[in-house]
Amino acid sequence: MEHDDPFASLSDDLLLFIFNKLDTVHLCYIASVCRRWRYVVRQLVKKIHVLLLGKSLKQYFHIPTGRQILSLVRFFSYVEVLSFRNWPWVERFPEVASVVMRGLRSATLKKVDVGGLPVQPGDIWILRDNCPNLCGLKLGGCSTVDDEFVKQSVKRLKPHLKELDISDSTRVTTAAIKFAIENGVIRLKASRCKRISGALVINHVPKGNESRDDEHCLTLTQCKNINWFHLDRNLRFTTINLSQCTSLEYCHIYDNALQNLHLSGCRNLRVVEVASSNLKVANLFSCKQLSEEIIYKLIENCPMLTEINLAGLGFASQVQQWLLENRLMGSLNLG
Amino acid sequence: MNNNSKTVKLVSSDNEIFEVETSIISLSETIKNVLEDTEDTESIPLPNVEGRILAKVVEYCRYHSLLKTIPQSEEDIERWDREFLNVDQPTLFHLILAANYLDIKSLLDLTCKRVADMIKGKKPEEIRKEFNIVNDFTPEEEEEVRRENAWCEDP
Repeated sequence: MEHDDPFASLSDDLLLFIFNKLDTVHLCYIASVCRRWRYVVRQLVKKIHVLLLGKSLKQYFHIPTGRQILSLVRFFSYVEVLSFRNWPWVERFPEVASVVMRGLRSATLKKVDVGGLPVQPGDIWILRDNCPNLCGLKLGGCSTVDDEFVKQSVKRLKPHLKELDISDSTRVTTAAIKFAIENGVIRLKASRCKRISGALVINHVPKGNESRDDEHCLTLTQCKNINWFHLDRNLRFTTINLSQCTSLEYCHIYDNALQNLHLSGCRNLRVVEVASSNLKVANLFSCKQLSEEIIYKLIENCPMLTEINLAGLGFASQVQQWLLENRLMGSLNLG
Repeated sequence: MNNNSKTVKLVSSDNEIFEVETSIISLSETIKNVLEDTEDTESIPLPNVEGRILAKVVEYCRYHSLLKTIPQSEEDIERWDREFLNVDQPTLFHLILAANYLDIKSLLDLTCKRVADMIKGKKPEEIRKEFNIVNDFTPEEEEEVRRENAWCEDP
Protein backbone atom coordinates (compact mmCIF):
# COMPACT_ATOMS: atom_id res chain seq x y z
CA MET A 1 0.00 0.00 0.00
CA GLU A 2 1.27 3.44 -0.89
CA HIS A 3 1.74 5.87 1.96
CA ASP A 4 3.12 9.37 2.25
CA ASP A 5 6.58 10.27 3.41
CA PRO A 6 6.17 9.67 7.15
CA PHE A 7 8.95 12.11 8.00
CA ALA A 8 6.79 14.95 6.70
CA SER A 9 4.86 14.85 9.97
CA LEU A 10 8.00 15.18 12.11
CA SER A 11 9.55 18.51 13.03
CA ASP A 12 13.14 19.29 12.09
CA ASP A 13 14.07 18.78 15.73
CA LEU A 14 12.71 15.24 15.69
CA LEU A 15 14.45 14.51 12.42
CA LEU A 16 17.66 15.80 14.00
CA PHE A 17 17.04 13.61 17.03
CA ILE A 18 16.75 10.54 14.79
CA PHE A 19 19.75 11.39 12.63
CA ASN A 20 21.77 11.94 15.75
CA LYS A 21 21.46 8.23 16.46
CA LEU A 22 23.19 7.30 13.23
CA ASP A 23 26.83 6.55 12.69
CA THR A 24 28.57 9.85 11.88
CA VAL A 25 29.79 8.67 8.51
CA HIS A 26 26.29 7.63 7.53
CA LEU A 27 25.15 11.26 7.65
CA CYS A 28 27.07 11.74 4.45
CA TYR A 29 24.86 9.18 2.73
CA ILE A 30 21.55 10.47 3.94
CA ALA A 31 22.31 14.05 2.99
CA SER A 32 21.56 13.09 -0.58
CA VAL A 33 18.10 11.67 0.06
CA CYS A 34 16.16 14.91 -0.41
CA ARG A 35 16.39 18.64 0.21
CA ARG A 36 14.95 18.56 3.68
CA TRP A 37 17.23 15.79 4.87
CA ARG A 38 20.16 17.60 3.38
CA TYR A 39 19.21 20.73 5.27
CA VAL A 40 18.80 18.88 8.58
CA VAL A 41 22.03 16.94 8.12
CA ARG A 42 23.81 20.24 7.52
CA GLN A 43 22.50 21.51 10.86
CA LEU A 44 23.81 18.39 12.52
CA VAL A 45 27.18 18.53 10.80
CA LYS A 46 27.76 21.94 12.37
CA LYS A 47 27.82 20.22 15.74
CA ILE A 48 30.18 17.43 14.76
CA HIS A 49 33.65 18.39 15.89
CA VAL A 50 35.28 15.00 16.15
CA LEU A 51 35.62 12.65 13.20
CA LEU A 52 36.91 9.17 13.84
CA LEU A 53 38.01 7.30 10.75
CA GLY A 54 38.07 3.98 12.54
CA LYS A 55 36.56 0.56 12.33
CA SER A 56 33.06 1.69 11.41
CA LEU A 57 34.31 2.62 7.92
CA LYS A 58 34.50 -1.05 7.08
CA GLN A 59 30.78 -1.18 6.46
CA TYR A 60 31.07 1.42 3.69
CA PHE A 61 34.15 0.34 1.78
CA HIS A 62 35.98 -2.74 0.66
CA ILE A 63 39.13 -0.62 0.40
CA PRO A 64 38.58 3.12 -0.01
CA THR A 65 40.60 5.43 -2.23
CA GLY A 66 42.28 8.58 -0.96
CA ARG A 67 39.80 10.64 -2.97
CA GLN A 68 36.88 8.99 -1.22
CA ILE A 69 38.29 9.55 2.25
CA LEU A 70 39.13 13.15 1.42
CA SER A 71 35.65 13.95 0.22
CA LEU A 72 34.26 12.23 3.29
CA VAL A 73 36.40 14.38 5.58
CA ARG A 74 35.50 17.52 3.63
CA PHE A 75 31.83 16.82 4.16
CA PHE A 76 32.32 17.32 7.89
CA SER A 77 33.38 20.89 7.44
CA TYR A 78 33.29 21.83 11.12
CA VAL A 79 35.62 19.14 12.34
CA GLU A 80 38.19 20.14 14.93
CA VAL A 81 39.64 16.73 15.73
CA LEU A 82 40.41 14.18 13.06
CA SER A 83 41.56 10.74 14.11
CA PHE A 84 42.88 7.75 12.20
CA ARG A 85 43.05 5.61 15.31
CA ASN A 86 41.87 2.08 14.49
CA TRP A 87 42.05 2.77 10.77
CA PRO A 88 40.88 -0.56 9.31
CA TRP A 89 43.29 -0.78 6.38
CA VAL A 90 46.64 -0.44 8.10
CA GLU A 91 48.26 -2.96 5.77
CA ARG A 92 46.58 -2.11 2.51
CA PHE A 93 46.21 1.64 2.68
CA PRO A 94 48.54 3.09 5.32
CA GLU A 95 49.21 6.26 3.25
CA VAL A 96 45.72 7.55 3.95
CA ALA A 97 46.82 9.94 6.72
CA SER A 98 49.43 11.43 4.42
CA VAL A 99 46.94 11.78 1.54
CA VAL A 100 44.35 13.49 3.73
CA MET A 101 46.89 15.81 5.32
CA ARG A 102 48.05 16.91 1.90
CA GLY A 103 44.59 17.41 0.49
CA LEU A 104 42.60 18.90 3.33
CA ARG A 105 41.65 22.53 3.72
CA SER A 106 39.86 23.43 6.91
CA ALA A 107 39.38 26.54 8.96
CA THR A 108 38.23 24.58 12.00
CA LEU A 109 40.69 21.70 12.25
CA LYS A 110 42.76 21.84 15.42
CA LYS A 111 44.10 18.38 16.05
CA VAL A 112 45.05 15.33 14.04
CA ASP A 113 45.74 11.89 15.43
CA VAL A 114 47.50 9.85 12.74
CA GLY A 115 46.77 6.66 14.66
CA GLY A 116 50.27 5.35 14.14
CA LEU A 117 50.06 5.60 10.34
CA PRO A 118 53.23 6.81 8.63
CA VAL A 119 53.40 10.51 7.73
CA GLN A 120 56.23 12.83 6.71
CA PRO A 121 57.13 16.31 7.96
CA GLY A 122 56.12 17.64 4.53
CA ASP A 123 52.57 16.33 5.06
CA ILE A 124 52.39 18.28 8.29
CA TRP A 125 53.69 21.48 6.69
CA ILE A 126 51.08 21.32 3.96
CA LEU A 127 48.33 20.57 6.46
CA ARG A 128 49.38 23.53 8.55
CA ASP A 129 49.38 25.80 5.49
CA ASN A 130 45.81 24.79 4.67
CA CYS A 131 44.49 24.55 8.23
CA PRO A 132 45.41 27.75 10.04
CA ASN A 133 44.05 26.61 13.39
CA LEU A 134 46.05 23.42 13.63
CA CYS A 135 47.63 23.28 17.08
CA GLY A 136 47.85 19.62 18.04
CA LEU A 137 49.48 16.53 16.54
CA LYS A 138 49.29 13.00 17.79
CA LEU A 139 52.05 11.05 16.12
CA GLY A 140 52.11 8.23 18.62
CA GLY A 141 53.32 4.94 17.18
CA CYS A 142 54.23 6.57 13.88
CA SER A 143 57.30 4.74 12.57
CA THR A 144 58.63 7.70 10.59
CA VAL A 145 59.01 9.95 13.64
CA ASP A 146 62.57 10.67 14.76
CA ASP A 147 64.39 13.68 16.18
CA GLU A 148 64.73 15.36 12.81
CA PHE A 149 61.03 14.87 12.15
CA VAL A 150 60.11 16.44 15.48
CA LYS A 151 62.50 19.35 14.99
CA GLN A 152 61.32 20.11 11.48
CA SER A 153 57.63 19.92 12.39
CA VAL A 154 57.97 21.95 15.56
CA LYS A 155 60.10 24.59 13.87
CA ARG A 156 57.77 24.96 10.94
CA LEU A 157 54.62 25.08 13.03
CA LYS A 158 56.00 27.42 15.64
CA PRO A 159 54.35 29.12 17.50
CA HIS A 160 51.04 27.44 16.71
CA LEU A 161 51.87 23.90 17.74
CA LYS A 162 50.86 23.54 21.38
CA GLU A 163 50.19 19.85 21.76
CA LEU A 164 52.38 17.01 20.59
CA ASP A 165 52.25 13.28 21.24
CA ILE A 166 55.18 11.19 20.03
CA SER A 167 54.64 8.18 22.26
CA ASP A 168 55.90 4.74 21.31
CA SER A 169 58.59 6.11 19.06
CA THR A 170 61.65 3.91 18.89
CA ARG A 171 63.81 6.73 17.54
CA VAL A 172 63.12 10.02 19.34
CA THR A 173 65.70 10.99 21.92
CA THR A 174 66.00 13.46 24.77
CA ALA A 175 67.05 16.15 22.27
CA ALA A 176 63.64 16.07 20.56
CA ILE A 177 61.84 16.52 23.86
CA LYS A 178 63.95 19.52 24.78
CA PHE A 179 63.58 21.04 21.35
CA ALA A 180 59.79 20.70 21.36
CA ILE A 181 59.42 22.25 24.81
CA GLU A 182 61.83 25.06 24.06
CA ASN A 183 59.89 25.89 20.91
CA GLY A 184 56.40 26.37 22.21
CA VAL A 185 54.90 22.91 22.72
CA ILE A 186 53.14 23.10 26.07
CA ARG A 187 51.49 19.69 26.21
CA LEU A 188 54.00 17.04 25.35
CA LYS A 189 53.55 13.33 25.62
CA ALA A 190 56.27 10.83 24.84
CA SER A 191 55.49 7.65 26.72
CA ARG A 192 57.36 4.40 26.18
CA CYS A 193 60.24 5.99 24.27
CA LYS A 194 63.30 3.97 25.13
CA ARG A 195 65.77 6.35 23.53
CA ILE A 196 64.79 9.18 25.82
CA SER A 197 67.56 8.37 28.23
CA GLY A 198 70.04 9.70 30.74
CA ALA A 199 69.47 13.21 32.00
CA LEU A 200 66.52 15.31 30.90
CA VAL A 201 67.09 18.90 31.95
CA ILE A 202 64.48 21.46 31.04
CA ASN A 203 65.49 25.00 31.76
CA HIS A 204 63.80 27.10 29.14
CA VAL A 205 60.39 27.61 27.59
CA PRO A 206 59.54 30.50 25.27
CA LYS A 207 57.54 33.37 26.65
CA GLY A 208 54.01 32.52 25.66
CA ASN A 209 50.93 34.65 25.31
CA GLU A 210 48.61 31.76 26.00
CA SER A 211 45.89 32.21 28.55
CA ARG A 212 46.22 31.00 32.10
CA ASP A 213 43.92 28.06 31.32
CA ASP A 214 46.47 26.61 28.95
CA GLU A 215 48.02 23.94 31.10
CA HIS A 216 51.60 22.94 30.55
CA CYS A 217 51.90 19.18 30.85
CA LEU A 218 54.69 16.73 30.31
CA THR A 219 53.96 13.01 30.18
CA LEU A 220 56.86 10.61 29.86
CA THR A 221 55.48 7.44 31.40
CA GLN A 222 57.40 4.21 30.98
CA CYS A 223 60.46 5.90 29.51
CA LYS A 224 62.60 3.32 31.17
CA ASN A 225 65.98 4.86 30.44
CA ILE A 226 65.63 8.31 31.98
CA ASN A 227 67.62 8.54 35.17
CA TRP A 228 67.67 12.21 35.96
CA PHE A 229 64.87 14.72 35.52
CA HIS A 230 65.35 18.39 36.19
CA LEU A 231 62.83 21.18 35.69
CA ASP A 232 63.86 24.77 36.32
CA ARG A 233 61.78 27.45 37.95
CA ASN A 234 59.19 29.61 36.17
CA LEU A 235 58.44 27.23 33.32
CA ARG A 236 54.69 27.05 34.01
CA PHE A 237 54.35 23.25 34.04
CA THR A 238 51.32 22.19 36.06
CA THR A 239 51.50 18.43 35.55
CA ILE A 240 54.51 16.16 35.28
CA ASN A 241 53.97 12.44 34.80
CA LEU A 242 57.00 10.17 34.96
CA SER A 243 55.21 7.06 36.18
CA GLN A 244 56.96 3.76 35.63
CA CYS A 245 60.23 5.41 34.61
CA THR A 246 61.97 2.57 36.33
CA SER A 247 65.52 3.89 35.93
CA LEU A 248 64.73 7.35 37.29
CA GLU A 249 66.93 8.09 40.27
CA TYR A 250 66.80 11.87 40.64
CA CYS A 251 63.86 14.18 40.18
CA HIS A 252 64.36 17.90 40.79
CA ILE A 253 61.48 20.23 40.11
CA TYR A 254 61.72 23.92 40.94
CA ASP A 255 58.82 25.11 38.82
CA ASN A 256 56.43 26.88 41.12
CA ALA A 257 53.45 26.18 38.83
CA LEU A 258 53.57 22.44 39.46
CA GLN A 259 50.31 21.05 40.81
CA ASN A 260 50.41 17.34 39.99
CA LEU A 261 53.39 15.08 40.16
CA HIS A 262 53.12 11.42 39.20
CA LEU A 263 56.07 9.19 39.95
CA SER A 264 54.36 5.92 40.75
CA GLY A 265 56.37 2.83 40.03
CA CYS A 266 59.70 4.68 39.83
CA ARG A 267 61.25 1.96 41.88
CA ASN A 268 64.80 3.30 41.67
CA LEU A 269 63.93 6.88 42.54
CA ARG A 270 66.17 7.99 45.39
CA VAL A 271 65.81 11.73 45.37
CA VAL A 272 62.72 13.80 44.72
CA GLU A 273 62.99 17.46 45.40
CA VAL A 274 60.08 19.74 44.67
CA ALA A 275 59.70 23.38 45.47
CA SER A 276 56.23 24.38 44.43
CA SER A 277 53.82 26.27 46.59
CA ASN A 278 51.09 24.98 44.24
CA LEU A 279 51.73 21.25 44.41
CA LYS A 280 48.48 19.50 45.29
CA VAL A 281 48.95 15.88 44.28
CA ALA A 282 52.03 13.72 44.58
CA ASN A 283 51.85 10.07 43.64
CA LEU A 284 54.87 8.19 44.91
CA PHE A 285 53.30 4.75 44.86
CA SER A 286 55.92 2.06 45.08
CA CYS A 287 58.90 4.46 45.02
CA LYS A 288 60.65 2.12 47.37
CA GLN A 289 64.05 3.77 47.44
CA LEU A 290 62.79 7.07 48.85
CA SER A 291 63.78 7.86 52.40
CA GLU A 292 61.55 9.26 55.11
CA GLU A 293 63.60 12.48 55.23
CA ILE A 294 62.96 13.14 51.55
CA ILE A 295 59.20 12.80 52.05
CA TYR A 296 59.16 15.18 55.05
CA LYS A 297 61.10 17.71 53.07
CA LEU A 298 58.70 17.41 50.15
CA ILE A 299 55.73 17.98 52.44
CA GLU A 300 57.41 20.95 54.07
CA ASN A 301 58.31 22.56 50.76
CA CYS A 302 54.81 22.17 49.33
CA PRO A 303 52.24 23.81 51.62
CA MET A 304 49.31 23.12 49.27
CA LEU A 305 49.89 19.39 49.08
CA THR A 306 46.62 17.67 49.91
CA GLU A 307 47.03 14.27 48.39
CA ILE A 308 50.07 12.08 48.61
CA ASN A 309 50.21 8.40 47.72
CA LEU A 310 52.91 6.54 49.62
CA ALA A 311 51.56 3.05 49.17
CA GLY A 312 54.30 0.49 49.10
CA LEU A 313 56.73 2.62 51.15
CA GLY A 314 57.73 0.94 54.39
CA PHE A 315 57.48 4.02 56.58
CA ALA A 316 54.13 5.32 55.28
CA SER A 317 52.42 4.86 58.63
CA GLN A 318 55.07 6.93 60.45
CA VAL A 319 54.54 9.71 57.93
CA GLN A 320 50.83 9.56 58.56
CA GLN A 321 51.37 9.86 62.29
CA TRP A 322 53.68 12.80 61.73
CA LEU A 323 51.10 14.45 59.48
CA LEU A 324 48.36 14.01 62.04
CA GLU A 325 50.52 15.80 64.55
CA ASN A 326 51.85 18.50 62.28
CA ARG A 327 49.37 19.27 59.60
CA LEU A 328 45.99 18.52 58.11
CA MET A 329 45.94 16.64 54.88
CA GLY A 330 43.03 15.89 52.55
CA SER A 331 43.94 12.35 51.93
CA LEU A 332 46.87 10.12 52.52
CA ASN A 333 46.84 6.87 50.65
CA LEU A 334 48.90 4.20 52.31
CA GLY A 335 47.80 1.34 50.10
CA MET B 1 -1.56 3.16 48.60
CA ASN B 2 -4.39 5.55 47.98
CA ASN B 3 -2.19 7.56 45.69
CA ASN B 4 -1.30 4.53 43.60
CA SER B 5 -4.85 3.59 42.83
CA LYS B 6 -5.83 7.11 41.82
CA THR B 7 -6.86 7.23 38.17
CA VAL B 8 -7.32 9.78 35.43
CA LYS B 9 -9.28 9.60 32.21
CA LEU B 10 -7.35 10.26 29.01
CA VAL B 11 -9.46 11.23 26.03
CA SER B 12 -8.01 10.55 22.59
CA SER B 13 -8.62 12.63 19.46
CA ASP B 14 -11.29 10.14 18.38
CA ASN B 15 -12.94 10.31 21.79
CA GLU B 16 -11.79 7.00 23.12
CA ILE B 17 -11.49 7.11 26.87
CA PHE B 18 -8.66 5.41 28.77
CA GLU B 19 -8.87 5.25 32.51
CA VAL B 20 -5.30 4.92 33.76
CA GLU B 21 -3.61 4.95 37.16
CA THR B 22 -1.83 8.28 37.59
CA SER B 23 1.24 6.45 38.88
CA ILE B 24 1.56 4.74 35.50
CA ILE B 25 0.84 7.62 33.19
CA SER B 26 3.18 9.92 35.14
CA LEU B 27 5.91 8.53 32.91
CA SER B 28 4.60 11.26 30.62
CA GLU B 29 6.07 14.55 31.79
CA THR B 30 3.27 16.41 30.03
CA ILE B 31 0.55 14.58 31.93
CA LYS B 32 2.50 14.64 35.16
CA ASN B 33 2.65 18.42 34.93
CA VAL B 34 -1.07 18.71 34.28
CA LEU B 35 -1.80 16.49 37.28
CA GLU B 36 0.51 18.48 39.48
CA ASP B 37 -0.92 21.82 38.40
CA THR B 38 -4.57 20.93 38.87
CA GLU B 39 -5.13 18.47 41.65
CA ASP B 40 -8.62 17.19 41.01
CA THR B 41 -8.22 16.58 37.31
CA GLU B 42 -10.62 13.86 36.23
CA SER B 43 -9.98 13.79 32.52
CA ILE B 44 -7.34 15.10 30.16
CA PRO B 45 -8.15 15.59 26.49
CA LEU B 46 -5.32 14.63 24.14
CA PRO B 47 -6.44 16.02 20.78
CA ASN B 48 -3.12 15.10 19.14
CA VAL B 49 -3.24 11.40 19.91
CA GLU B 50 -5.48 8.81 18.26
CA GLY B 51 -7.09 6.07 20.35
CA ARG B 52 -5.12 3.19 18.84
CA ILE B 53 -1.85 5.05 19.45
CA LEU B 54 -2.85 6.07 22.97
CA ALA B 55 -3.59 2.40 23.69
CA LYS B 56 -0.01 1.56 22.72
CA VAL B 57 1.38 4.42 24.80
CA VAL B 58 -0.57 3.25 27.85
CA GLU B 59 0.66 -0.29 27.26
CA TYR B 60 4.24 1.01 27.18
CA CYS B 61 3.84 3.09 30.33
CA ARG B 62 2.18 0.22 32.16
CA TYR B 63 5.03 -2.18 31.44
CA HIS B 64 7.77 0.32 32.17
CA SER B 65 6.28 1.56 35.42
CA LEU B 66 5.77 -2.03 36.49
CA LEU B 67 9.55 -2.48 36.18
CA LYS B 68 9.96 -0.18 39.17
CA THR B 69 8.30 -2.74 41.43
CA ILE B 70 9.07 -5.97 39.57
CA PRO B 71 12.53 -5.69 38.04
CA GLN B 72 13.25 -7.64 34.86
CA SER B 73 16.51 -8.59 33.19
CA GLU B 74 17.96 -6.31 30.52
CA GLU B 75 17.29 -8.96 27.89
CA ASP B 76 13.66 -9.33 28.92
CA ILE B 77 13.12 -5.59 28.71
CA GLU B 78 14.82 -5.44 25.34
CA ARG B 79 12.70 -8.31 24.08
CA TRP B 80 9.53 -6.63 25.31
CA ASP B 81 10.50 -3.32 23.69
CA ARG B 82 11.25 -5.09 20.42
CA GLU B 83 7.91 -6.88 20.46
CA PHE B 84 6.20 -3.63 21.34
CA LEU B 85 7.72 -1.91 18.29
CA ASN B 86 6.69 -4.68 15.96
CA VAL B 87 4.24 -2.32 14.26
CA ASP B 88 3.69 -0.91 10.79
CA GLN B 89 5.53 2.20 9.69
CA PRO B 90 2.67 4.73 10.12
CA THR B 91 2.08 3.49 13.66
CA LEU B 92 5.77 3.83 14.48
CA PHE B 93 5.78 7.45 13.33
CA HIS B 94 2.57 8.21 15.20
CA LEU B 95 4.21 6.77 18.30
CA ILE B 96 7.14 9.15 17.84
CA LEU B 97 4.78 12.10 17.63
CA ALA B 98 2.83 10.91 20.69
CA ALA B 99 6.00 10.28 22.71
CA ASN B 100 7.21 13.72 21.79
CA TYR B 101 3.92 15.42 22.60
CA LEU B 102 3.47 13.53 25.87
CA ASP B 103 7.16 13.98 26.66
CA ILE B 104 8.01 10.36 27.42
CA LYS B 105 11.74 10.41 26.92
CA SER B 106 12.41 6.68 26.96
CA LEU B 107 9.65 5.98 24.44
CA LEU B 108 10.87 8.77 22.18
CA ASP B 109 14.37 7.33 22.36
CA LEU B 110 13.16 3.84 21.61
CA THR B 111 11.01 4.79 18.63
CA CYS B 112 13.59 7.13 17.11
CA LYS B 113 16.26 4.48 17.53
CA ARG B 114 14.01 2.10 15.62
CA VAL B 115 13.69 4.56 12.73
CA ALA B 116 17.45 5.17 12.77
CA ASP B 117 17.93 1.41 12.51
CA MET B 118 15.65 1.38 9.47
CA ILE B 119 17.81 4.05 7.81
CA LYS B 120 21.09 2.43 8.78
CA GLY B 121 23.01 0.55 6.11
CA LYS B 122 20.79 1.80 3.29
CA LYS B 123 21.84 3.82 0.27
CA PRO B 124 19.94 7.04 -0.50
CA GLU B 125 17.86 5.39 -3.22
CA GLU B 126 16.89 2.55 -0.89
CA ILE B 127 15.93 5.03 1.82
CA ARG B 128 13.69 6.96 -0.57
CA LYS B 129 12.00 3.75 -1.56
CA GLU B 130 11.56 2.51 1.99
CA PHE B 131 9.90 5.72 3.20
CA ASN B 132 8.37 6.89 -0.05
CA ILE B 133 10.44 10.06 -0.07
CA VAL B 134 10.48 12.15 -3.23
CA ASN B 135 13.87 13.15 -4.59
CA ASP B 136 13.21 16.90 -4.91
CA PHE B 137 16.70 18.11 -5.83
CA THR B 138 16.96 20.38 -8.84
CA PRO B 139 19.37 19.12 -11.52
CA GLU B 140 21.96 21.66 -10.29
CA GLU B 141 21.61 20.52 -6.69
CA GLU B 142 21.73 16.92 -7.82
CA GLU B 143 25.07 17.64 -9.45
CA GLU B 144 26.37 19.28 -6.28
CA VAL B 145 25.20 16.35 -4.17
CA ARG B 146 26.92 13.97 -6.53
CA ARG B 147 30.16 15.90 -6.32
CA GLU B 148 30.00 16.08 -2.56
CA ASN B 149 29.21 12.43 -2.18
CA ALA B 150 31.76 11.15 -4.64
CA TRP B 151 33.16 9.20 -1.74
CA CYS B 152 30.29 6.78 -1.41
CA GLU B 153 30.23 5.72 -5.04
CA ASP B 154 32.30 2.73 -5.89
CA PRO B 155 35.64 3.70 -7.41
